[in-house]
Amino acid sequence: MGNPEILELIGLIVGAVLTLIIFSYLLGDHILYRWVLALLVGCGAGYVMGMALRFLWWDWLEQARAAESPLLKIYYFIPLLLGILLLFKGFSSLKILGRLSALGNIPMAYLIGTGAAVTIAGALLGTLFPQIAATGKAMTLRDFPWGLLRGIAMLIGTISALLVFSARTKDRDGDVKPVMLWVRRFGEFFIIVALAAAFAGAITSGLTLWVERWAELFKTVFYFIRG
Amino acid sequence: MFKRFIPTIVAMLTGLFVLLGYLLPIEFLGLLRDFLLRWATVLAVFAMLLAFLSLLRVHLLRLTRVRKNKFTSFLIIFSALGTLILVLAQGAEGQGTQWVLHKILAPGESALLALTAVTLIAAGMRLMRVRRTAGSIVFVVTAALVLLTTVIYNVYPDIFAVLRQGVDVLTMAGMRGLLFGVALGGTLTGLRVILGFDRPHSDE
Amino acid sequence: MIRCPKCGKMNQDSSRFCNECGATLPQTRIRCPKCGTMNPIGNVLCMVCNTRLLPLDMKLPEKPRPSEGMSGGVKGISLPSLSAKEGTPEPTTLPDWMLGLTPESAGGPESAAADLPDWLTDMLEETTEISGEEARDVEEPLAPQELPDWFSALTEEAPVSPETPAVEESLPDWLADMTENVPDRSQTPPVMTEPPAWTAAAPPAETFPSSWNQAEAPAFVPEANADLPDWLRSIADAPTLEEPQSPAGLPAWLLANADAPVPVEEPAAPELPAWLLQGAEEIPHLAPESVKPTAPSSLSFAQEPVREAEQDWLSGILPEESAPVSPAEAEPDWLSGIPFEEPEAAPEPAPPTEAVPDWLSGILIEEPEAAPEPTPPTEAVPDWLSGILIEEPEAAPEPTPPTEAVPDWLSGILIEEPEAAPEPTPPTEAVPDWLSGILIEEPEAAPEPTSPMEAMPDWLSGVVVDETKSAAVISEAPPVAEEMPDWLQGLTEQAVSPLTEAAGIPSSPVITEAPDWLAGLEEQEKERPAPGAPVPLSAGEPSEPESAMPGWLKDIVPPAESVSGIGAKAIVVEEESEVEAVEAALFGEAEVPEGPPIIEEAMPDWLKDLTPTEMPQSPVVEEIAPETLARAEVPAWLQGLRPPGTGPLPSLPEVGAAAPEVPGAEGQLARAEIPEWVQALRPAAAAEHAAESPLFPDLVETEGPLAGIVGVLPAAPGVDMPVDFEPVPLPEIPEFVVAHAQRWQQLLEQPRGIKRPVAQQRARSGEGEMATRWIVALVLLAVTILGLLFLGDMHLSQALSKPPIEHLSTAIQALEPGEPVVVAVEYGPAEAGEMTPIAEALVEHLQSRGVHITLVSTLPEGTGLAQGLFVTSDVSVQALYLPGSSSGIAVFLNDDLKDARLLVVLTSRTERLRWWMEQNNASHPNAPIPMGVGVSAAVGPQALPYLETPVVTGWLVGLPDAVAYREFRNARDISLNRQLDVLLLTHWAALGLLFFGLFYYLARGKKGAV
Repeated sequence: MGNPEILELIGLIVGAVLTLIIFSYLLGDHILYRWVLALLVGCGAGYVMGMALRFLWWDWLEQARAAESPLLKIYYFIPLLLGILLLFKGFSSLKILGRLSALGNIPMAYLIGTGAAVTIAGALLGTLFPQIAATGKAMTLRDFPWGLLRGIAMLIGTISALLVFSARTKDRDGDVKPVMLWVRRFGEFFIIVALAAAFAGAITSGLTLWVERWAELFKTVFYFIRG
Repeated sequence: MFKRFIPTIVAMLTGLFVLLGYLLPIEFLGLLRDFLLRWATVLAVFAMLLAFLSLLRVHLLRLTRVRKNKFTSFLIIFSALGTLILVLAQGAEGQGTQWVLHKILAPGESALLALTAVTLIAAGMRLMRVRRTAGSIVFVVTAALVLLTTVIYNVYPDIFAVLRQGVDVLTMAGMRGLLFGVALGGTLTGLRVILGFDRPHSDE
Repeated sequence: MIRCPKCGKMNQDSSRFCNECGATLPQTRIRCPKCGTMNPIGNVLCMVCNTRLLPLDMKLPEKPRPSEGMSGGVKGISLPSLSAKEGTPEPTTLPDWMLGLTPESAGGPESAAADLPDWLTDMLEETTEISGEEARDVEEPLAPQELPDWFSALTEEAPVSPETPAVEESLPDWLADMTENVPDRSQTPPVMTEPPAWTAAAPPAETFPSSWNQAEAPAFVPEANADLPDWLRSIADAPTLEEPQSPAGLPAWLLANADAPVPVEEPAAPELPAWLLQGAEEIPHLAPESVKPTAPSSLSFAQEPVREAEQDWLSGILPEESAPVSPAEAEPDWLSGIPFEEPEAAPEPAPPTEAVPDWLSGILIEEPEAAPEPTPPTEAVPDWLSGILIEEPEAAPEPTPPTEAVPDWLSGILIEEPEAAPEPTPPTEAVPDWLSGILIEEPEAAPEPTSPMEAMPDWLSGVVVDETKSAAVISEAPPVAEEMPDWLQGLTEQAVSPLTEAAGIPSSPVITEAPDWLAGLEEQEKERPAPGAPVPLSAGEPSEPESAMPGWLKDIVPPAESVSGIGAKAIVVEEESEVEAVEAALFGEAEVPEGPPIIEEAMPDWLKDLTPTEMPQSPVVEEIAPETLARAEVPAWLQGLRPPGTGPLPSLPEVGAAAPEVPGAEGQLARAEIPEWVQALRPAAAAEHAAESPLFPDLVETEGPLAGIVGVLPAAPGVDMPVDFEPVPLPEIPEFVVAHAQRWQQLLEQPRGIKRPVAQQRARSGEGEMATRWIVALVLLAVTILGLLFLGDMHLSQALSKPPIEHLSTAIQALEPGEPVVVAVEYGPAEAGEMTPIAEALVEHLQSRGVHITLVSTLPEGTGLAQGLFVTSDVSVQALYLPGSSSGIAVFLNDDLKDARLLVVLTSRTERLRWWMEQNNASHPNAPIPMGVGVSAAVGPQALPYLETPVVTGWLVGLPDAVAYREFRNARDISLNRQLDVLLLTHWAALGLLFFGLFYYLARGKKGAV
């Protein structure tokens, strides 16, 4: 049994143990379950941080080091400086570094500003326009009458679901307008259906993983039983 | 100055230039957009670093000051630093890294997510006990239909074909309405940030 | 809302201090005397203990009429409560603490003492004992053990008489001190001992106002006074101590008042404050030289609180008629600017309203047409006070020396003629100054010239009615206790009557009815024998006019018809419905009897408010005030003196309309020009905007010498609304807003004890929930184990080829070798169990096509998972990590993926798919990269809107589609098919469980009730 096989065997055991410990939560909370959670949190954080640092080191600093022109070096250096300023935000509770934490607002603002712009562009160009076009395209006579009915139902459902959260469904006195009341009811129905579908999809995903985990367990067991 | 004014200006300018780079077919603006977005990705790494340091700090404090659950904190710190070192040393494709990922993280987290199936089914069963409304009935029935058309449909496709299409239409209509709401809300929020009405970056 | 008296800012009801200037705000709530709960002003009963907050049920005890020897020497602020026929005061109208002071009869002080508090009972006994011939021996030193330390030191210095009555031991300290310091004046020579240290800083007596100056009459100073503080000594040393008789029936603190000095004319001007002198000097006819010597007249210690309340700045408000006291001396600065007519230049009865401001002219009582005497003082009276002036009776034979009892601050108001008040009236000397003014006593016989005003408090002496002008009137005056406020009637009868009885001196009740600040007005007119003036009351005849009004208001009101016979109209008010009237007034249902009482016209608003509570419908014969009285207005500073809880009455019928107009009343006073700032103070709206419920809370004094006494008029006003407040009609408020506000109000008004709904953490899962979870887990586990163990190769499900699957497979199949394809692995380890079959199916297909695959992920774990997809293959593909979420995707798509032929997104998170979709469309708006999507079953429904867009060529959702894709490509994986079969079983189980729960709980009920 070579080294990879041992690792694989240990991995099977570890995975099975972890799975059983976690499944034992169905019987109640216990310390092992918490320890497994801590282990998963630590490993996940370390893994993420490792990958991020590797990106920073190998992808960015190596390129900065390889840059020949000063302008290019500045280009690579500025985000590092901003990143260092951003780290000051983590020391706001300290006396000396706490005063510098305000400097972290600048890179934070930079992140938020670019993120806002990307969000706007994506929402407009990637969601609203395509979805509006898709909703209109659903109104087709190709599969008449089902295609048309399908398009109408989709149009009504989309609009009514959007208007559920609109404040204009109430008049000045706060009373719900009768028409809007029905629109809201339609919208709520569509939203309920959509959320129920998501609920069922989550169940399906969970069951898939449930089956996969038990299949792995049995696989491990059979591995030791059958050799 | 550094708390409010400059950050607001920075957010407004960067947001404006990036947005213009998307909306206007001007090459310079496109380059400027890419230029600014690259910096943003680097800053995002620092933000992750900040989060990781914060996690370590919290659990280090718990190790030194809190009596209870010290081992939990120790386990978190130990596993985090161990995995960090491992990943830094081997990268994503390293054997140890792959082992951690596939033998610890994947089984553990998959098992956790598998538990949600039990919890969700139990919650669906008790829904009528908590909220006896027509909406609850619609919810449960729709969930059941989706379950039928997701997997069971594969067994009896002819029976559930129409049902599946109907459910898909209703689901898509509702989800599309929600997507519109999300997109509109995101657009509005982004515009408020770019225009300086909202300043989530200024410690306010 | 509470208007700050200082800056005018509106503050919340609960505020104690002004939010703007920090000034103390007036009380706007009524404290329940029983439980201490602060009740809203409008409450009649305490909202907690239901204790009545308003003294509606106060009844005067049955007692003989003053004409029978118990003349109501002391009369308080009261409204008519007695029937003219009965003429007897209602004992129940007195507050409890005053009932004790009111003897049941002239000879029965013991019975009255039963109702007294202990400390007053003792005094009553004492004063009763000394009311006879031993009255002069009662002043004996108190037992020092009862005295406070700070005062015991004083008493030690004072000569202690061996005949100290034991009863005084139980006196409160502050009274004991006073009692102790009132020695036998007839025997003990006045000895000025060393004043206590705390008085050292006090200014010398010479610097005191005239009313405080004892240097003028040292012979009358009791020796114990030397130990008194200056402010007390000034009272005790008043030059009326030559009357050694003890005012029987008076409490010790009133005994001093029994020693009210014979009015000694003292130049009041030197004692006037500088600002008053200045104001007086500015007015020639009010020069200090003409100031009438206003004797302190307040020897009573009880006057001290009043003196504290005295304000010199008020003394100049009412200029005196002729002589001894120049009105200008007392004129405050703020009134000095008011042009007054020269009194000497008004030999003829000047029109009273000439110098009276308009807003006071209404208070003025018209003088009879035939009044021969001019009333110059009223010329100098500001309008708002001129209305208070009472018409002079035609014949005022009895001189009234009231100015001695007039406080400095009101001395200017007095319109007196000192030469007409030659002799003092000893009986009223026993009345404390601050009460004597309230007295409206009408002794049956006034053989001795009495000067009841001496005993009146300065501030009340001015209210004295002018019926004392005639000796006959005074002597034959009916009992005036009827007109007294309840809380003062006891004082009147108990303190004055025994005194007069013992001394054999009939009291002059009428004079003492008026407060000092009104006495001046009275006396001023009394001195004027006006033809056609109301005829004084005859002896033995119930003074019906006065009986219908409080004594201190009688001065304001013209003489009764029966008395004056001219220009007055008697009004009889039914007394039976007193309580009903009060309640009706409170709730706006008060029935105003025909011929509204004149008092309503003559009274300021805040006194009108008191009317229904005090004297609603008791039979009263009252004069009808001239029409001008209806316009009586009280300045804001007087409004501020209104007791808390009182408010303006509901608007009463216009009295002036029904009252006969007295000719010449308006023309006698010249209108004065009032500065604008004074005009601004005119509570013009106060008279018009009467509050709904006049209240007179039964307050208990909590501090000071009157601590513990019920019914004391507090100094702090209870005005909670500006006098000129005009409610702005609000726009219509929606009902739901009102309901919402009411709900909030209801919540806020809930007592603390009430348990309020509080958001609580939901209880932990109970047994039912845990059992349900176990049932689900067991069912799923059983199904899973059975499926995994026993299904074997028995395939339950079939992989269905659907259009999206076929389209995606076709799109991949169409790729040429070497074409760039991007695979975004956007799922984490948690979803790897579900996503890996999907990813492997697509990646295997892509690898089979020989395309150039670029693995990317915005998730750090995604790169590792993507790496695992190729572990078994020979192709080594390096995955890229794209930090920055959507920004990273944007950078990647803009720079590195311009030539990609297919973008495969494998994700179990909706937002990741959305990012890729959005950035793909945003980065390549004209020609976005074709996309193939593989998502988990959870993401499938949520991603439907994106999946059915033209940019997506095909998609896989969950394990079934992954198996179907493999089946479509003829790349079956047996293990996956087995998993799918087990998944099918679990789905059936899940369906069964959901429907079981649905029907079970539908049948069982929400909370378990079947």
